[in-house]
Amino acid sequence: MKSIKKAETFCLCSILAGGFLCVLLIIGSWFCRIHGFSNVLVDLFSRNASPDFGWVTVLRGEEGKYARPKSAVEKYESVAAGLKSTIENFCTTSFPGSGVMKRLSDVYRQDVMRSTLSAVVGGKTNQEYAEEAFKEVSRFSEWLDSENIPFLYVQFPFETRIRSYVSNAPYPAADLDTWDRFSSMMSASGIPFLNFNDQTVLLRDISLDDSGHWMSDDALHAAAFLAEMLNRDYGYHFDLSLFDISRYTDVISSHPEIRERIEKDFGYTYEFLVPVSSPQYIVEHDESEVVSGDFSEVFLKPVSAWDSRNGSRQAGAYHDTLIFRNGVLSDIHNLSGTNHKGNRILVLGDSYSWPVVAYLSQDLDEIALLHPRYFNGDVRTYISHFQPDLVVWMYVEAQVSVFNSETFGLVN
Amino acid sequence: MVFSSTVFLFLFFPLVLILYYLPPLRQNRAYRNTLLLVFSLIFYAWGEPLFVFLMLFSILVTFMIGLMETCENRKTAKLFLTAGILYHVVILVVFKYLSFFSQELNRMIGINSSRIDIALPIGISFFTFQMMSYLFDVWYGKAKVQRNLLNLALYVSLFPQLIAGPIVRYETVEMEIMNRKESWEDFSVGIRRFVIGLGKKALIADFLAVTADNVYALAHVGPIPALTAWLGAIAYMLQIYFDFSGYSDMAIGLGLCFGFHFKENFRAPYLADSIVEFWRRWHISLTDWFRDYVYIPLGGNRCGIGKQLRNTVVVWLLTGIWHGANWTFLLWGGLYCCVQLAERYVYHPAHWPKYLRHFYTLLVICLLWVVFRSVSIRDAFSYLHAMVGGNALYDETSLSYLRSSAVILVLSTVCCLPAGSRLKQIMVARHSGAFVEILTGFSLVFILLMASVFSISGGYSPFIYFNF
Repeated sequence: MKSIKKAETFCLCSILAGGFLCVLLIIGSWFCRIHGFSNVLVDLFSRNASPDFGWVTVLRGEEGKYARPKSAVEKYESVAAGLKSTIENFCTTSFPGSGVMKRLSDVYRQDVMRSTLSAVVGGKTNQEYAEEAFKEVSRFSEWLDSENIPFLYVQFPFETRIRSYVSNAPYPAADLDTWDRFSSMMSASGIPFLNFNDQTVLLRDISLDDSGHWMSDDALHAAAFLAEMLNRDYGYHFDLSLFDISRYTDVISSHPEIRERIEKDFGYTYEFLVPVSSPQYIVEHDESEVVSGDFSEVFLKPVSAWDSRNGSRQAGAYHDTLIFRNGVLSDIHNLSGTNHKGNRILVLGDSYSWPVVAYLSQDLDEIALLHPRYFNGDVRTYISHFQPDLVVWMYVEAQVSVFNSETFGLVN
Repeated sequence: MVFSSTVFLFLFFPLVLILYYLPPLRQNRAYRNTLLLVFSLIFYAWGEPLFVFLMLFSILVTFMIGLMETCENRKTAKLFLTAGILYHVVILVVFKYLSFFSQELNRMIGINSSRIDIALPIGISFFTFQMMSYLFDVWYGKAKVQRNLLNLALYVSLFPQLIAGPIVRYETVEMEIMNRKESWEDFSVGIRRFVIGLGKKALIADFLAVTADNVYALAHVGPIPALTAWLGAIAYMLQIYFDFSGYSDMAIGLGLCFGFHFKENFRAPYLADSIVEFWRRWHISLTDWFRDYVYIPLGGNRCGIGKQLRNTVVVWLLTGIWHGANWTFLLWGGLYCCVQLAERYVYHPAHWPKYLRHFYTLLVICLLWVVFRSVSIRDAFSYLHAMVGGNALYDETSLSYLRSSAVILVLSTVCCLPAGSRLKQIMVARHSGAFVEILTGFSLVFILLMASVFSISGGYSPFIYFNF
């Protein structure tokens, strides 16, 4: 009996030791890879390792020119948070066979436990999420007011709301309630607010990929609607004919093998519209990568780089095929003549806004798109540097639950 | 850092074990204690990089007050004890309750001033109570004052029990800090206990949480039918048990791995057949703490009926408010007080058939967990109203929740019972003990593997009592 218990203890400890060895191998392999040493084992263990060395950046004072000056306590917190996320990255993202483990856990969850509900994220009430998000947007709006910069908040509907209109499929009532509460607060606040949920014409036109992401024709439609509003309420002069769908062609259909692969992987036909006649651009991504050319050349990756997420099929064709090229900060200069000489718009947005911004850029001298959630610097410092004529906050409503001062760095 | 995370399972825990049992240094008690202390502080700083300094400062204050309590003059010593207790109570009030008080004051007075918003340090209720228990134990002479700051720091910050208990009394571990004997037997039992706790958390509690959280979120938004309400209530009742008892199992198991013997915190609480008995089986360390440091010093049972009632009410209200800064916790404590007083002084269901006693106890517990879980008293009452059929009886969503949670509800109900030990007894009677041990071993290996799989593939799942 004692020997059986010893064997049991030995087995249990071996599993923990195995995991420990994996973590050490992941860290070791990553170091090997960045120093140029690569073999099958190194590749296997370091494939997804992407540590966040924010703590090194803070320690060296290399936080970028848009960093907000930090106190000693904030620097310490940044270092601690960076160290923590670095180690967690090594321990969570890179286990070999994580795909198999995901399938095993799905089998246990769905086939054994018959559990088909998805988890409710976070511990706050809907009202608390909505209030916190509204507080962030209000503070931001007030600051822009003080800088005499006009502000517009644009909200895109998320998949679940669209499904509830289109197909009556079950939707998470809690999420919709949060977004509705936030929208009500925004509508009552006096902050310029364009809620695409209210635009029934837009809703009926919407189709989805399986992540709930918009297709590009919806983005084009949204861009047209937005351009019209900017003309009407903000004194812009967009040529609305630029958004006529007949002026666009689907780039995916030029690559039948990719089209087929998307159909096979995602179960639907995916299109991405690019203008037949495009302006010439220079686009600066993250103030480091400069691309020039027409619409396809600056906004889309080379075809050889499409579908580079190693077989992930979780975020739909838009994200997983990775056609669209963008950085955390993308500054788009239109070199052809536009109706807006000297105008510059700053968009704070996520993936829903990327194609919209690209379509709008056809008639704007300069438009920049910044993703605050991944931006290391301070948004307000960047705005002071960029000096936009208009700031547009263009987010999908599902992100409302994550609006907080940490997400957007809008701390005092 | 939580025990079910990959960082803990595959980095922190193995590293501590390897360094703790490192051959050249394993005989050195000071080395081992220092190692445990350093890693415990890292463990806490992982989630609270700033508040770790608050904990360290509190330890320093407690250490100094403890030394002062040993002075000759009892009056002066009592003054120091009072100062020490006051310090800890103030810390608890400031970090846990001040935001709530300011919010309620604003609401009552009707002003719209900016709210005080203080972050709640993880586990503050636990380690504050532990430090207070140290001061009391030294004052009452139950334990010798600790003259080594590092040893006291180790007692307070020991990572197995730091974040969510059990509340370890100083007298329990006083000798073990310097004189514990690690053994293979203890290590084996400890690892086994840890894996059982991990299984309770990762394979049961987290599944129940999905149903419970979904239903309560739905209830917060609008009316729900009775079936949905009961599903959510039962799911939460089981979730909080498996989550908390799972954590306690892990804490006790980890303690054993390092030679510490913590007391049990749960004894099959849902087998109780009265509320009084339930609280002898649930979160035993907390009820013992309030009994020994609040109820008995106030006079306990050794006074008139009026004072006994007062003492009971005080303890229950404090128990309620200890769990969180919300009126619902106060109401929850108050309701338990009423039920317990009713059982003690009005009518005890001792003469009922056993099944009826169990049913009554579980019913009361389930209904009061609804109050505990709800975000406001209004939500609690509307949820209870839904449970008694105040809205519809059921709808499509109810049936969908029932389909999705039937298996986990049945499994967790069975696991609440001492089915495991009964099954083992039956199997030992029918087969050889060795066979049963092998089967147990395989089961534990399976549980650890599955929990690891979930840890690697899943997301962050903090313990409920994390927030207390």
